[in-house]
Amino acid sequence: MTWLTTTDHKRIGILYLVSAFAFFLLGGVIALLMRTELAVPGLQVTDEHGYNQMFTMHGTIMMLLFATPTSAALANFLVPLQVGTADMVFPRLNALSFWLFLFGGIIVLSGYAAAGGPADIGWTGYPPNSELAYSTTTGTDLWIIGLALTGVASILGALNFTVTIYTRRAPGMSMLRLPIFSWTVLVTAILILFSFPALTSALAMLLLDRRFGATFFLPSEGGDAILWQHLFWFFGHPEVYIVILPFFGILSEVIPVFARKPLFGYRAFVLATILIGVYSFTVWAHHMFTTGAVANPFFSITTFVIAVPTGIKFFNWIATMWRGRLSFPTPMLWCLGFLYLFLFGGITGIVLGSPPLDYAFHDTYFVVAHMHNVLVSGTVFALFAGLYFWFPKMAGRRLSERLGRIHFWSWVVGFTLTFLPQYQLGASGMPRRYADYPADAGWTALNQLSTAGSLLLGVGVLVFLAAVALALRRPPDQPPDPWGANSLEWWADSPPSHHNFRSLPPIRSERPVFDARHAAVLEEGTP
Amino acid sequence: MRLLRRLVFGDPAETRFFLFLSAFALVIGAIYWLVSYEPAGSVLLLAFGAATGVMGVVLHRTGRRGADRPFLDETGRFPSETPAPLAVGAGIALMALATIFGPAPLVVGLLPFAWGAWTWLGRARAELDSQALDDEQRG
Amino acid sequence: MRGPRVAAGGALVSLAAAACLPAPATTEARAIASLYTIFLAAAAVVAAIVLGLATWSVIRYRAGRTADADDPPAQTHGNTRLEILWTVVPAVTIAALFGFTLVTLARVDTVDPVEAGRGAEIEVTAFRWGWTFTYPAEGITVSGFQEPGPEVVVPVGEPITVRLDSADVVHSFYVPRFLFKRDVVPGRENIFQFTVEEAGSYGGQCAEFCGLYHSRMPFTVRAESRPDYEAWLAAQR
Repeated sequence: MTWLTTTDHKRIGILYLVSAFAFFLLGGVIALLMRTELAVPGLQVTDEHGYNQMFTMHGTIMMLLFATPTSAALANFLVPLQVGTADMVFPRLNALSFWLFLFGGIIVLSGYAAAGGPADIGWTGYPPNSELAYSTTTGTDLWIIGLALTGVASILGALNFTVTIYTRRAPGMSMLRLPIFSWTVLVTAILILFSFPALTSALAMLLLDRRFGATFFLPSEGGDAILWQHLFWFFGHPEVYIVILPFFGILSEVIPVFARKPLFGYRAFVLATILIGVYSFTVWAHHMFTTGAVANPFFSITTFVIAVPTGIKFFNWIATMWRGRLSFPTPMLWCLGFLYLFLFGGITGIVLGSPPLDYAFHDTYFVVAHMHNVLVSGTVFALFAGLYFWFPKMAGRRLSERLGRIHFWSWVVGFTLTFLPQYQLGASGMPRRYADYPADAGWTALNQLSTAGSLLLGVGVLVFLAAVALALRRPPDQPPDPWGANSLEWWADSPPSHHNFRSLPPIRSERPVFDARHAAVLEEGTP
Repeated sequence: MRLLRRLVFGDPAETRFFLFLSAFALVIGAIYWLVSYEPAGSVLLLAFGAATGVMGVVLHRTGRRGADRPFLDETGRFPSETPAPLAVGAGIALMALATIFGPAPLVVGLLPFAWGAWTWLGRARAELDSQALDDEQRG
Repeated sequence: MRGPRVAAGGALVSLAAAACLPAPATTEARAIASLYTIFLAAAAVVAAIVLGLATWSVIRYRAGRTADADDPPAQTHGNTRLEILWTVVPAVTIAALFGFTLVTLARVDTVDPVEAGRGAEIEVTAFRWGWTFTYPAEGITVSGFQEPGPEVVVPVGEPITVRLDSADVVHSFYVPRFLFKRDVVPGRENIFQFTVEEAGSYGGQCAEFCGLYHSRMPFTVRAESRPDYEAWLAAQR
């Protein structure tokens, strides 16, 4: 019952995490159904309508009910700990953000209970197809309302993070001593504050079109279908940085611990994060190259420019490992997986940023491959790195290394088999959002490979759930700092007491716990 | 340029950050308009610049400097558990459904929303009053 | 020992991801294919460097089982020269790629009104769920709904000018062998030009989600010699 009335950031973080993960499982099941349908030409599992609902709900759930809230979850749990304070500046508002997110998600999913089923307009909901004349069911309206609520939740949460990080840092923690994860949360929060309103506005306008006689996006009545795309992608591109920047932050926390060196180029990393955040507002119409309605060269150059700060981060991570003393427990394995696989997502992003190449690849499986490359081997791999890393802090127990390795390997192989062949599928012409494909197109073999891989991903998730269940059955036994880590959350107990800290170490760098540990060693005179 | 730098040099990081964001967005918005004459994107970029500009200017004018506060000071002032956020959230969600289903959810949602908002505001006021009292006593 | 195995496995797997394009059938497609080759080459170099460095560091710097395992390594915080290097080199690289992009973009997107007078001019209307092709100068119309979809013929080696319009929602005109697509947006006319270099039959698809039968509105573009094209036109009248 206290979970319903809590205002404690740690509990709210766990509420977000559990809810987001539940949505992840649902989105994953939908994905497995889609992959089952696509394994063989012909419609076996569902019909065209059902398939359209599947990819709509899969995309919506994964982007807006899983990825975005997951970063809110970790940020909620960690930011007050990392800055050395007892809670967020607005704890009740924090709780409200969670409940709005949860109710919004439930409303989106309530489409399954509505006549005609859930929304079937794609997670991008382009009009006129999403207008009432073409999408007649209540599911679409529920999708609109639910997403508006989750959007408001994100904005309120972002406000909280921004104010907390700016005003509640412990004495001695200047901005340039802020842990990297908190820096990425700060930039992400700024992105949320200024991009989500574009989505909320677009959703309101679509609802007004559908239910209140407006014609914003109806060309036949003087509206503009492209206007929606501008609004949606002005939100949508910062959104993808919203779901990757905190995860870059996770990598930047984990790698230094297991390389036993500080993050190489901390200041450059902070600057790169800020630049990526700021630039992300200038690239949106690279999703619209094929519309013929936007200045393609402008958006091409801005898209290419973003690659530079992202590349810098890669070099920072590798340089952190260079001449380090590397160990490879499960969190570090996930980081390595990220480095190897996310690289291709980044590279193919550059490819797609070139309009002539985009003319060939847009709306094909090449884009599906790219987006999953960055979202799965990027965001989700980093998420698992973070979960294995911070599980002792959150729950006082460690997850099984053995199960962690099984989980990791099944995902590396599973991810590779599922998504890398999709680059070839797209290049050879298979469009996305297709319920079926011709038997003579030559796409069957790669689709089957992809489906086989997706089963491995499912298995890996089950292994992870088993690891969590087994860990929670043991009594808590973890010390404050089981890994020998760097930032303030490792000073608190595992899990932290109600108001987090009874005392704080001196803060003279971005690694106060590391510094304290070494001061202690020096004092004891142990070499 | 030097005048500019002197104007903002003393400001804390957050003020400079918003002013930088604003300048960037306004410049890019202007470039974008000149390159494309496309109204939607131009309005979005310039509005972004205006919004961040407002924040930067307000922060600059109020001259807020983050004072180092001992973190233990805040223990007593943290809100205790309350169902108010849950009630407000549920109320808002229900009321939002009225746009689809008509006035019924509006009425139903109004009850938890009003109760939750009332409770929340009452507590917040009590906390602010006790904080003002403490600040007074501390002198 | 886990780490290096991940590294080696990852390096191998990574090489497999390069995607091969279908054989380009138009002048514009060949320009796009050439651009793609340049990008792939750059990608291969970047991947080799980055993954090479990562693999080396994972193999070379893993903690041994010797006594020094407890000592922290040198706590290097950064190196300004190195950081400048790995900012400037990528910046130069992408500037070059952008330059190549602009050149190709000019070749692909140019619509020459003079050229439009030669070859053929076709007005395409997309609708849920099929296509209507009109040759205004020849006064013929070909239309088709769902599969197998309409088949239209164009003369090989001559500029074809296409005007796109939609009767309802956003669709997209996509021919994989042309390495090209352009959205069909209601309320907006999109125009593009291409020249087919090789006679043959090229399948097309809708590439912007348009509702229930989005996956079932194909069409075919057949490129024939001028005499065969004229014959087809005559047969349509």
